[in-house]
Amino acid sequence: MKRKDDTDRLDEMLAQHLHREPAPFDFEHWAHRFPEEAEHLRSGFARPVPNRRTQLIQIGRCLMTSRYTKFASVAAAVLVAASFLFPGRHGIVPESIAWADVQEAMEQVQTIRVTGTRNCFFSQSETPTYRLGLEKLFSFSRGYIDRTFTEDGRLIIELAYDLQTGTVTVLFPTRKLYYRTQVPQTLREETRQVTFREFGESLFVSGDYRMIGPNDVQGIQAVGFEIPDLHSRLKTKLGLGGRLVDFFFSFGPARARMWVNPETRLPLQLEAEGKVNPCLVTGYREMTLREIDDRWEFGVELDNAQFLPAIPEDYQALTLSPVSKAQAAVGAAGAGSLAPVLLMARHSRRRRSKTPVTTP
Amino acid sequence: MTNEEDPILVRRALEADPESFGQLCRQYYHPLVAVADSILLDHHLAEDAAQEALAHACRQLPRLKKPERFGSWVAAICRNVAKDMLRDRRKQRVLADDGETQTPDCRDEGQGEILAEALQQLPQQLREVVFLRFYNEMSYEQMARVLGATPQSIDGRLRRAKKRIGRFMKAKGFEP
Repeated sequence: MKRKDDTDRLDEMLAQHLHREPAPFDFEHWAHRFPEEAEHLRSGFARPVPNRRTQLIQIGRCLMTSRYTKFASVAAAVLVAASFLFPGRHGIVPESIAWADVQEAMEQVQTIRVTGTRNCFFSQSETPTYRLGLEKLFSFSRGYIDRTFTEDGRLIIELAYDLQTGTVTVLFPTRKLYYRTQVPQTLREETRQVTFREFGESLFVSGDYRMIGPNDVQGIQAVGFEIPDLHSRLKTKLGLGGRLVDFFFSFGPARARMWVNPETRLPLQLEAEGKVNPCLVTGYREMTLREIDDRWEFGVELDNAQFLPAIPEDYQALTLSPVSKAQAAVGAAGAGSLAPVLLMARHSRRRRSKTPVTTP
Repeated sequence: MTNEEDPILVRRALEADPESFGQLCRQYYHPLVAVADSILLDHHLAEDAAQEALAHACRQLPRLKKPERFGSWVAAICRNVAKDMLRDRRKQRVLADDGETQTPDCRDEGQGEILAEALQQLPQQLREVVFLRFYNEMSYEQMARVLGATPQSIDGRLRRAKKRIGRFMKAKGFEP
C-alpha cells in the first residue's frame, strides 16, 4: 500500500515538475520562419530538394542506426588502426618503401611526360626573375626532350636527344636559331645502356639518401627521398664535371627531393633547388634555380619524330663565339658528357637542373 | 486521429497540400517539444528544436519510405536536432541549467532540485518516456506513435524510470 502511495506521490511530483501548457502549433508562423520548406509544400515538391552537406556526425548516425553497420564500422576502424600499428606488405597501408621499390616500379615504365615550373632567380629577391613552364618527355627507347616555356606558354627553348642516332638538337624558336650536334658513337652506346636502376643507384645508393615525410603532396601521403649534395654526386659518381657540361650549364651546390606515391611507388613530385654557376645558359651570371615537377604521366604515347625534330627553314644555325667554339671543341667528343646527362635526366628529374635554361 | 491517417496526410502533403503537413505538425508538435526538452532541458530551446525538426522532416518528406511511421521518424529527426543544438550550446559555454525546467512549481525548492537532478541522471531513453508522459499528460498510445514502441514496452520503461528516480531521491534523503 505504501509502495502505491509512493508511486502516486512520485507521479504527482513529476507532473508538477514537468507539466507544461505548450502553445499550439502555428503553421502560418512556421511557414514564415521556414519559407523554403513552405514553398516545397505549396509546389508539391516540384523542385528537387537540395541535399544538405553531409557532416561526419550524420554519417556516424547512419552507421549507428543498425546494429550490423555499427559492428561493421567498429571492426573497420579497428582494422585500419591495426594496419597503421602493424604495417605490412599485405596490409591496407603499404609498408614503408625504399628507393629500390621506386626503381623497380620505374623499370616497368617505357615513357614519361613531366610538366612543372622552373623559377630562375638572379638576385636575393623572393620573386623569381623568370618564371618558366617546362615539359619533359622520356622514352627509354627513343630519347629525351626538354621544353621550356614562358609564363604565357611561348616555347623558348627545346632540347631533344635522339637515342637512335645520338643527335642532340637545341631549338630557340623566339630567335629562330638552332644548334645540332652528334655525340660520339661510343658514348651513344653507353647512354643506350643506361637504365633508371643504374642511374638511381648512382644517386640514391642504399642509405645514402634521406627519407622524409610522409607529407601531404597533391592530396597523397607521399614519401620523400632527399639528396642534399646533388652537385657532387653528379660530378663524382657520374662523371658529369666535363668542361662542355660546365660550359653549357655549370652546376653549383644543389639538392633534390623526390616525392613518391606509396601506392604506385612512382614519382609524384620532384623539387630541386640549387645554384648555377655563370655559364652559357645563364648569360654568364650566377643563378638560383628552383624547379617543381608536379605532374607525372606514365606510359604516355609519344611521337617518335619529335626526338629528332626537323629544323624549320627560316632557322639559322647558332654560331658560337671563338672562345665558346674553343670550349665546345674541348668538350667536343664531349658532347659525350652532355648526352648521358640528357638521357639520364629522362629517368630522373634530378639532372633536370642540368638541362639548358635560357633567359627568355 | 489514428496512425492510419498519417500515410494519407503524408501523401497529400507531397501532392501540394500544405494543410495536410500542417495537420501532421499540429499532431506531433507537442510530443516533439517533449522529446527535445528531455535532451535540452530548456523549454524554449525545445520549441525551437521541434520546429526545426519539422522543417527537416519537410525537406526529407519525399524520401520517407514508411509514411505510417511518420511519428517515430520525425521524433528521431527531432532527437538529432536537439543533440546538435545541445552540442552548439555547449560549445558556446552556455550553462545547460538556464531553462525553465529548473524552476519547477514543486512543494519545496530542495525537492525540485533533487528531482531535476534525478531526471538528469536517467538514461536518455528513459528520460524521454518520463517527459512524454508528464509533459502534456500523453497517453501510452500517443507515446507509442512517437516512440515507435508498443504501449507495454513504454509502460516497462516508465516503471524503470520511476524506480531509478525513487532510488536516487531516497539516496539523497528525500522520500517521494
